[in-house]
Amino acid sequence: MQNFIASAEKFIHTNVLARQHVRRDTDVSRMDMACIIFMCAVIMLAFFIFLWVRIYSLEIGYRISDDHKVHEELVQENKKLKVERAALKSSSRLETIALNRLGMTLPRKTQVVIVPW
Amino acid sequence: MVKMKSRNELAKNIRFIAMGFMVLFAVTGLRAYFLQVLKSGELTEIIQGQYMTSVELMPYRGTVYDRNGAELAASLDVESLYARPGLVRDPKGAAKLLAPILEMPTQAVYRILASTKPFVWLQRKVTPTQADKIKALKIEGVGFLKESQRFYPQKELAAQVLGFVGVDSQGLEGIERQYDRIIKGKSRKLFADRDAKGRHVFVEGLQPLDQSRQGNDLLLSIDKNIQHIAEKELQAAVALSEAKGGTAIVMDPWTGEILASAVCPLFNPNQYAESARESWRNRAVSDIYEPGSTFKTFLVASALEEGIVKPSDMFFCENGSYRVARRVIHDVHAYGWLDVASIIKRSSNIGVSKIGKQLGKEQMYQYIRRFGFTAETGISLPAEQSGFMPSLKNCSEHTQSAISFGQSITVTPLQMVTAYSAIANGGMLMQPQIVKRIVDGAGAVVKQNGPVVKRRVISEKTAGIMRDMLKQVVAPGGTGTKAAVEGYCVAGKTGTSQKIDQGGYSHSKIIASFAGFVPADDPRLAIIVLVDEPQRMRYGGEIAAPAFSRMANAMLNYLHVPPEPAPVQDPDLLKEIRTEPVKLAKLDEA
Repeated sequence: MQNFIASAEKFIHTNVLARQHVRRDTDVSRMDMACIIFMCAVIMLAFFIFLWVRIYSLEIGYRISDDHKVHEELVQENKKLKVERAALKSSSRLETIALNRLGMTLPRKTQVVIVPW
Repeated sequence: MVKMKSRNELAKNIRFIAMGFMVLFAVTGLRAYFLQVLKSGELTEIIQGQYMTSVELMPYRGTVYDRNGAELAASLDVESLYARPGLVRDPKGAAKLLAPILEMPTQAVYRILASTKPFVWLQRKVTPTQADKIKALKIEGVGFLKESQRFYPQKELAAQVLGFVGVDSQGLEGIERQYDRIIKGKSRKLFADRDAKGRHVFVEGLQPLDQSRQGNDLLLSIDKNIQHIAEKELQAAVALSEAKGGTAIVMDPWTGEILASAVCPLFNPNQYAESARESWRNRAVSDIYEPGSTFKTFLVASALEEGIVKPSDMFFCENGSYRVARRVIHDVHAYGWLDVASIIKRSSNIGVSKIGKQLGKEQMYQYIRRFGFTAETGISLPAEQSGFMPSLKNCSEHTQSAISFGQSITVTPLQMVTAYSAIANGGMLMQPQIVKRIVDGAGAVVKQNGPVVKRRVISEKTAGIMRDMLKQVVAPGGTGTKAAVEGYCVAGKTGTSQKIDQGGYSHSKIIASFAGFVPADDPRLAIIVLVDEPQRMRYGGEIAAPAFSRMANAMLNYLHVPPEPAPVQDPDLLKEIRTEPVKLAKLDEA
């Protein structure tokens, strides 16, 4: 048995392993290296661009949210001022001021002269 | 040999490990398939719920303007205070802090905070001062939500026309109710990402917001200054006569636009709950009354139009007492023979009932309907009444007489002023209008209402004859001399009608009225004034006519309507004006 195994080993070494073409490590060519580096750089660049776009859109989103708040506040302020102006210009208030504070009266007919064109 | 053995074992180990990895990868792949494919929808929802949120933008209720763009009703955001009782750590302590700010009893606030509900309102629509004080307390479980509050900056002005909104911004009366669907706006949901601090990030941007949730704005035909004049003079008349109330409507007779619709007593729609419910009612369209002598105008106009009578025809007015069937009709004064113009001028019930008899029931009914009575005008205001008269079948001889002088028939003030406008404009019945225009949030016109002619009621000639007769009412000797306006010619008719009380006509409860138009020959305003149950100065000519005069005078001034030229009485004065040069002061001497 031991003889059989030894002879088998010898056979494999002589006819199989010895006949294999073993490639030797050769130096990777410079072109290949450059290609690999270039590909890596492109991938990294794409990744950074994606990240930058994502972060920028988030920033814009925050700004929109802030501006939206400011816009709402300004719209409300504008409406409040319009309501206040309407109240200040109310006919009864203006008449009271004119009659009581400023001592004004409605003109009599004799005080109004219509000038024909 | 030893080497071969170890190599085999190595290969076996490698295979074993490889199989182990394959099993692991298979399990991972299956799990990935389970999560990514089978459970995909469910898990996506959970994730989105964590980082995505929807922001609900509340609607803006549209603004109501007068015809010149003055705000009559507008909405502003105010804060409403809520609590999540489950998150309030110390309800008693919180109640003690909040109660004085909210001006509520401490016990009441405590009851709300101790509630088992997940969400409760503490107080809706608090003032900005209250909101600032409560925010400063930083009570956990208590927060604010924005709600819309309606403001009426002109206060009582045109309150019955505008109406008001409830606590949930729903229209309850008047224009607010009639146009609720059009002006209330729509809420919108926007989706946004939410960051770790809970801030909203609108990564998809925002569309222009206001236009999409802004309700439509209304531009009314009401002129706030004319409305103010009408309300002021009406209030004065009601106070002077110690009356229960009053109504006045001012209409443009050529377009049917309502320039003013005043009702007394007034109320403030900003605090509508504090006034009596009766004061909310728009009596101009919702109240019916027997018009009395102001109705004679239409009976005579109908008879003239049919050629049944001429202005010069004479009628015997029975010296003030006339039996019709089993009833007796009276005149205020005893008259003998009067022509048609004088019957109107002196307001003879007997004279007009004889004209009505000649006209006949069928034609009388036909013309009453053609003038717009016993039917709604179709004005866009809620709760409009149509008025009533007995059916033709049930119209007895006496009823026919009574209808001739404005009793046994009920009308609304709006119907009366619309019918008088038909006389003023030469015979065309116009559609009353209260809303001129509807505009959307971007300012584009959604709907424009122009003048609408319903029908021709009488010819221009008949209208002209009636105009001349109505001028005589206001001339010396007529019942409406106090309606005269200095510098202008007025045409109109007085009315004093008894109200129904306990099944019969009351002697104490009356409605005094005056309806007319000015300037008579080129009318700008058709006005009706009603005073309800005056205790003093009880005739239309005594209380309603002077109120008409004051209103018309002020309104014509405001509209810059020049007085009608009067003939020069004093030629010497004219000479003086022409020969005396006017010395102008130089500016640098001033």
